[in-house]
Amino acid sequence: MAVEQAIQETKLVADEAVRVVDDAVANLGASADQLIAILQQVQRTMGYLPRAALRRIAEALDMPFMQVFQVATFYKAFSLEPRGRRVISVCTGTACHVRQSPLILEALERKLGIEVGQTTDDGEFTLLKVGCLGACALGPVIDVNGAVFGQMTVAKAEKLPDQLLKEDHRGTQK
Amino acid sequence: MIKNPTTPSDTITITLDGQPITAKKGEILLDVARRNGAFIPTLCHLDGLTPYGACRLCTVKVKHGSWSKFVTSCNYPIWDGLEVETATDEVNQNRKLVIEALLSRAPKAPVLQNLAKTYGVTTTRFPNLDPAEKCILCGLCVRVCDDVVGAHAIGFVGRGQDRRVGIHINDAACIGCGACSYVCPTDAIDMESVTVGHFRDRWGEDRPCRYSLMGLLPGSVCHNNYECWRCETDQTIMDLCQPVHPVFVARGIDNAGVRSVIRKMSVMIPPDHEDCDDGSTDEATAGQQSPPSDT
Repeated sequence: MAVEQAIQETKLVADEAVRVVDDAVANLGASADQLIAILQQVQRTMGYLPRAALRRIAEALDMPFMQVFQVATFYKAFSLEPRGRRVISVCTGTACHVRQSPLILEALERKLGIEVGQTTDDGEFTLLKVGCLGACALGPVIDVNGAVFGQMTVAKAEKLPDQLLKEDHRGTQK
Repeated sequence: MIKNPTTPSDTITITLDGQPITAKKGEILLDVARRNGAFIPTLCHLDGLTPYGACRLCTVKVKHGSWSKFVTSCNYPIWDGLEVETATDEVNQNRKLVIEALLSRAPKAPVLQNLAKTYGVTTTRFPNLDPAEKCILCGLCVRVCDDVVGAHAIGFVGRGQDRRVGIHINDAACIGCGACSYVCPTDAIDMESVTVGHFRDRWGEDRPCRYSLMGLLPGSVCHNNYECWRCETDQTIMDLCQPVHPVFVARGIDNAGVRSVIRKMSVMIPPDHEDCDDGSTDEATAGQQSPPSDT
């Protein structure tokens, strides 16, 4: 049954979260000043911060759950919901903004059928709007999992998702 | 901050609205000013809790020679030779701006409407994002839950304009004491209907009494579906603790201070103001100056 399957999946995520958190705490030390470093490591490993991970961190560092939650919701680098395999961050800093990055963002929203902050149903793409990426000379800039695509246009942006999928496909064939 | 190292004793002299005042070094400016009859409104201040400086209403001007600065008096320690202005045109003008900003966020809050009336604020130039919003993010509920109750059930979630007060009701942290709702200056927390519903669901059939969770009663079970206002225990405790929330009594926090600040309206409005129906002569309100006139 679908419900049982969902419960099973939640349990698997929770188990993994506990493992990841325990690793991070073992590496970084179980002290409150390591909270952000631990959150970052979990975010890197799992792609987001599952509830079970936050709970485990609170237990391990002996701090109130709410305190962990406050930090996790404060920073944009942390996500409480699963992100897609590719996180597309469109720069909307001043330099990119004046070079029409809002139009590029809109084009991607249309192309992917999602709004900023959402993830496509197939789990391939998450679309984010970010502040300055520090590559203003290349503006408008898009960042996909650390790879930078500069001098974007609406036309280029519309092709980007398919291009990314193809590249990945080629990559797996090798 | 300018310091005067030539004062050996703990007693120092400051000038409060032109009057010389003696006080202890390092005392908080707001306490000294109120003790000496100055009227300084506050929303985010509560005796016994960490000063927070969030509402900005208590902003006054401090001076020393040619140096001057606007500071929040609720978290400013005094020093020798300090000159303070609590109700000059300049200070009131600043306070009106703060009231405008608060009003734009929570236009329906009675405490803000009273303040606006007192200071002659009629409109706000800032846009309102949510007409139903009551919370002004003063952080009293968060601090009372952390510092007094010790439950750590409430916290700020998000940041910037998305910042709001959040609660993790399912994490067994909330003990349903209602202190947050009690200290809230704008009545933004609706404890009884929404929160208690969650609370009830979480405990199921095995419901510990709220007062035992607060540490006021030895462990006992609630027989009344958390409808405390209909419970005899509640009546008894309330009679015992009036007008302070039981959790303050349980934690041994100075009642007078809590009472004087918690009576939201009486603290906010000087005693001779028409909206002050309380008629009380609390130490916090007694002898305060007349409300500042519209500038």
